[in-house]
Amino acid sequence: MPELLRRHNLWPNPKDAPIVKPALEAYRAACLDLMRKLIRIMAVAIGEKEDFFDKKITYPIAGIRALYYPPQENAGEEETGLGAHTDVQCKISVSYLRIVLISHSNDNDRPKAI
Amino acid sequence: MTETTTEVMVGSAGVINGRLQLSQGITRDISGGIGGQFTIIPTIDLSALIDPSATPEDKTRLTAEVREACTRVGFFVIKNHGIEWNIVEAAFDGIKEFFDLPMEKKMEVHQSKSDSYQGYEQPYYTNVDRLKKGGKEVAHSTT
Repeated sequence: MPELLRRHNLWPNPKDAPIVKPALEAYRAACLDLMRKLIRIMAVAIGEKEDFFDKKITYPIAGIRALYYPPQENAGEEETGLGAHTDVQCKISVSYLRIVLISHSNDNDRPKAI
Repeated sequence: MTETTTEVMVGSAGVINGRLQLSQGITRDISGGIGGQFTIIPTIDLSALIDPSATPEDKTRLTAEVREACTRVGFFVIKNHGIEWNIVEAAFDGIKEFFDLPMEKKMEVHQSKSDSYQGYEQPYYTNVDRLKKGGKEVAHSTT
C-alpha cells in the first residue's frame, strides 16, 4: 500500500492495553476479506460484471469504529446526540455485543437517534 | 412525491417538502420507489460466498437475495459469513480493554493527535452541530 494512502491510527501503550491492537487488526482483516467477496456479489446484483468494483477496493478506506455508549443518567432535556447525517461508506457492517439502550423521544414515540 | 409540510425533524435535520435536509446544508431526494415496504429484516446465508464447493446456481441465488434485500429493505442480517467467532469475541475483549482505560490514557491517543484523524473520541466530542450531546466513545482502527 502506498504510504500516502495509509492512515495512521493511534494505539494505547501495549503495557496498558495489550489486546486491543492485535484483536482489532485481526477483526478488520476478517471483515475486509468478507466485504471484498460480498461487493463482487453486489456488482452482479446491480447488473455489472463481478470485477466492476475491483479497482475501488484495492486500497479501500476500510475502518473499524469501535463504539461504547457509557451508561448515562436521564439528560433531563431531550437531546438527539449526533443527529441525522450522511456517511459516505459503500457498505457498513454492524456487530454488537449487546444493545445497551433503546431510547424513544417523548414526542410521537418516534425512535430517537443515539 | 407530493408537496408536504415538514414531516420529521430530528435535531436540526429532517424531511422537508419531501427532501431530506441534513444539518450541514446537504439535501437528498428521498426515493419514491419500493423501499420501505417490509415488515422483517431479511437474513442472508452467505455460504455460497465462503464455501469453495458452492455452485454457480448458489451464487446466482445469493445475488438475487442481496439485490432483493438492498432494493426493498436497505439492510440485512448475515449468517454463515465465515468469520471465526473467536476473532469477533477477541475484538470485543480488546474494545472493552481500551474503553476501561483511565480517561487520561485514552486522551493520550486522542483523534486530534493523529495526522490521519484516527484515534479516541471522548463522549460528546463527535457532534454534527456542536449544540447537542452525543454520549458515545469511539476508537478507530484503520490502515
